[in-house]
Amino acid sequence: MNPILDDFFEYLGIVLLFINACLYIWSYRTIRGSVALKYFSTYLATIFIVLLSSLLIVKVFKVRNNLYLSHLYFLSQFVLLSLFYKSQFKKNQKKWVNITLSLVLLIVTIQYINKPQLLKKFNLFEIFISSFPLVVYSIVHLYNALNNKGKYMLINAGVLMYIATSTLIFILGDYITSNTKNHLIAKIWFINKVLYVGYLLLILVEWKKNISPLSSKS
Amino acid sequence: MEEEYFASLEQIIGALVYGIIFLVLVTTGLILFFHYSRKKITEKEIEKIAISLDQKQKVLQASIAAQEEERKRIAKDLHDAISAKLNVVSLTTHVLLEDEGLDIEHQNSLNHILDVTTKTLESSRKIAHDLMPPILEKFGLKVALEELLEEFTKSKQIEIESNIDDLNFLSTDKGLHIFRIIQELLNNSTRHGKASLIILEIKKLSNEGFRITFSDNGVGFDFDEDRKKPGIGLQNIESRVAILNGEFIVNSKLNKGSTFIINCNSDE
Repeated sequence: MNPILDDFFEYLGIVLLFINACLYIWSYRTIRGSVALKYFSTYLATIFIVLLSSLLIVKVFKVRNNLYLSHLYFLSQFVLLSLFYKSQFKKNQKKWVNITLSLVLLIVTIQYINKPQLLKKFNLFEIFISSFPLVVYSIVHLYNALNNKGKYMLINAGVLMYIATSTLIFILGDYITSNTKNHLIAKIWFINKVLYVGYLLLILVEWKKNISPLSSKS
Repeated sequence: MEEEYFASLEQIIGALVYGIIFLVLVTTGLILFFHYSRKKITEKEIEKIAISLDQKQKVLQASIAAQEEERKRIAKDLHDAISAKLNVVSLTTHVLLEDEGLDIEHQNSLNHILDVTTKTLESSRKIAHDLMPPILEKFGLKVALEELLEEFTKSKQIEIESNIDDLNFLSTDKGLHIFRIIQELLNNSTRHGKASLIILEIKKLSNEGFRITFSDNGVGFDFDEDRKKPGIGLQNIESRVAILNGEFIVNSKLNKGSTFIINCNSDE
């Protein structure tokens, strides 16, 4: 894989994430009262900090293993997106989000207490149980939007597509990272980066079309 | 050994790439499926609303037709049962008054009866006339409207400029609807609008159609606000225009007068 193209997508992702985080935080501060925007802007900001620090750890401090940040990434993504979807759901669906949220966090905590060495590598089980509910939530959100004008449909489409595919990549990431010397592996990470840029672009378009104060729908 | 290892790695990564592509397609498909289902459902709902609106309109039109029918019947009954009998009373009183031998008191009473009968006859004639203008059936819309306008200018401080084409291709029923619309508009302008000048133009169009333009210099109103209120009669006018298969355009602003345009393109 062309390393320049690879780096380009990596930095584009970070820049887009930064722009999105700023725009959503700004919108949240101007609109106020939108719970969904609160969680979503927090999510973007958290993920930006996690990705930036993982990048800095590798590039500046030359530390090879930054995998412990992955746990922060997956768990914060899970918690904040769950809360984001919860704010959009109906009453009994909210209850299920609460149950899933506490159950998943409980299971992961128990796992880490039992096996603290898991913190140093990809935890497949954690990736799975923190991503799968999000895919389910996004489908439920699509279902809710069937008979009315749904909100945040583009974000939802991005979440569904990116979380589903990236979960597959991360689950095999354990195997892939143990063979980092192979050039074929870069291909997979490259696909992940392209998909991530697509996801962030969808979030940006959502902001432009439906959240920005300049949008026609207001 | 190493070659074998790389071969299997390549296979796994190949499988992974296809797996990713597959997932992207499946999720895209899912999103599109929901998107189009939603479109379909919305379309169905819009259709439902249109049908119920249509039904409401039909009910209104039916009630207007029933109302006209009832008016006709009452007018006829008023004429046949009351006016005819009162005429007999009046005639008989006249005959009695011819009698020279009556004393003053009886004569006065009879005169009083005659007076009341004449007045009642006059009012019943007027009521019947309002309910169903006979002139419309006998002489057509143009004459009936001219008479209506004359009545208005006579009884109220108002100036009416009119230019009415003869719409003799219209059936009596449709003519009656137009008559009622103009009547309602005139009432609105004088009662609610406090207009002092009304311009009415009825123009025959080439293809069995016509255009009615009615404007006044009254206080005007907010169409969207007032159409919700009952009693203003705008809904009634709208339904009648719908029966005529026409288009109803209202142009009015507060304190700027009002203009009503009714367009009917073909008499179908």
